[in-house]
Amino acid sequence: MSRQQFTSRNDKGQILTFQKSGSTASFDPSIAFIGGSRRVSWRLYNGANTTQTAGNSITYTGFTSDNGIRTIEMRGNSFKNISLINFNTDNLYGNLDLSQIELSSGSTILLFNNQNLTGITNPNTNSTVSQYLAHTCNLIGNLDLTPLSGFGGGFQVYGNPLLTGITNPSSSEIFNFYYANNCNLTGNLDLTPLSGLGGIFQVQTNPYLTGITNPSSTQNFTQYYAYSCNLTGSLDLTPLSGLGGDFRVNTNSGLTGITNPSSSEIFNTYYANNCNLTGNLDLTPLSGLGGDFRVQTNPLLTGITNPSSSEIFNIYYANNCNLTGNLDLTPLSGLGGQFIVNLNPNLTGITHSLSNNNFTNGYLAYDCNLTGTLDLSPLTKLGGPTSGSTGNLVLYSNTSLTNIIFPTSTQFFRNSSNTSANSSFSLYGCNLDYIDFTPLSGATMVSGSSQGTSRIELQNNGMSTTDVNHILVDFSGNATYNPTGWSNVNLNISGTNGAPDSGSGGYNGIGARNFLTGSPYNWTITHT
Amino acid sequence: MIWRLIHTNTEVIDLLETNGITATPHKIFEAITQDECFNKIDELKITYHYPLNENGILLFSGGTRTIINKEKI
Repeated sequence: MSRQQFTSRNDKGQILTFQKSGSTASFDPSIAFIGGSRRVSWRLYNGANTTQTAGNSITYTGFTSDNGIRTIEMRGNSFKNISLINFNTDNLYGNLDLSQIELSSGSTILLFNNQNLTGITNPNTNSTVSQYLAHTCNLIGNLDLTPLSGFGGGFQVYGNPLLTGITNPSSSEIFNFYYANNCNLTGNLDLTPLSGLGGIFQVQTNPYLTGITNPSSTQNFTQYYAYSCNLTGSLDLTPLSGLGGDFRVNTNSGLTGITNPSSSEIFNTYYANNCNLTGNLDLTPLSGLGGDFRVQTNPLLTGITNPSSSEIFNIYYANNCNLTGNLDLTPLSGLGGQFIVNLNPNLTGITHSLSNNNFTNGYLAYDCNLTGTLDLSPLTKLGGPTSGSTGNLVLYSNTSLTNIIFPTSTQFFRNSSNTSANSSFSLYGCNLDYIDFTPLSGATMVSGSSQGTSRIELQNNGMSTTDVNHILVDFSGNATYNPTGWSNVNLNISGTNGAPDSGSGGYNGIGARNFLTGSPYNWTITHT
Repeated sequence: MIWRLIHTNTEVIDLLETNGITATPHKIFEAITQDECFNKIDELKITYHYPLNENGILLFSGGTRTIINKEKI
């Protein structure tokens, strides 16, 4: 086989012309061919000298102190079967026209970190592209990828602050990642031509991106990020049957709905908080939902229909919405961690099914309209599992809440801070009558160096003297049964509650108070 | 209503505004204003975290007060 090399004495072949701007100590473009022994040569001019050098990978130092815009020529007998174009971090300038390149199958295009590269004219090819990386450049306007019908693998164009659009080619290739975040994508991003889209998909932080049209794809997604954009209306995810993993579309103030796909993939994150979700959010198609779930601060969200899922939740946030009526959590057998649904002024009930997961960071449902009885008995691990991993229950200001049914528990409770609102049991300002604390007799009230003595806040519930007496007597029983767990407690049962006495209802409240505040229990009790 | 500081000389059990009755084995300091109770905490040089808002805490320590961000604790 004859060696093919373009030389200055040979006027046959092809020339790729492009430009650089600004100095660089290491101008090191490289190119590779598949098969054969093709080589290219380079013609470089730095304002003083012209250099010609042969080689598919070169390092040229002539631009070390040359800030000018220079034209580089890459010459070769043929630009067929190119498997690699690696011009990253070479100070490319203006538009790079690759239209005469003929890529081999599985080729790689690396153009990233060229802060003056404003455009790319892509080669027309049916061959597969395994990686196309043009991130942190200065691509302007629309990037037309339609010539690349074998587009797939990995794609990165993030960090192009003037990139307003991407026209995707019709391709069935499988994607491992697609990054177009932190650009200026504007309007709708049409992904429908990419039937192999999956893996990691990130288009977050495109403040003018108003919509995403998803492709019909069965590929599994491990990340789908479209947060901090301007998604408007409803986001239709139904074409993505492999959606799962880490899903984030939070902070899209015009996003009014999400239509979830039927997917059995495991979700470890689902963020749709700080949007404008309106009406009901139907999660029933997501049988693998779990992990960290956040839909808080959607002021028009009136309901959540939860899926039948046994996945473990470590966070469930639906606070600051307008959840109305009952929140049915019975389909979630793995609920635990931190549960926050406070500030839903029309939320009248919460129903649970059996869960054996620890609520280590609190159960917060204050400032709602919980009505009647809140049955927490299915939550056998309410509170934390150890003295170093505690929980608390915060239900204050539910003015129609009349009863709480506690689980039988040996868990640990501690204030999240040393205030009424963040107590181990913050149950003030409701309409509670007698509530039975005896199922918690095996639990432990934990003090903390900054959180203070464990607090139970029951003030301003309009309790009768009988109810107050009964609760105090129950507490004295808990302390007797479990002095380690029920000593050094700070109880406030004052305000609109009746004053304890020695006999109402057949309970000696004063006796119980004196018993609890004496040694060795050392309670502090404030009552009416 | 009065302000009531319940403490052990080394620890604040509670600081509350109340017209209720407090039974406790610990010490009670009562005052008209919350600031008087704060001064008492300073006088006793107790370390005490008093939440100001969602992110801020008034930290009493060794007779001085510092406003700190909660995340720094």
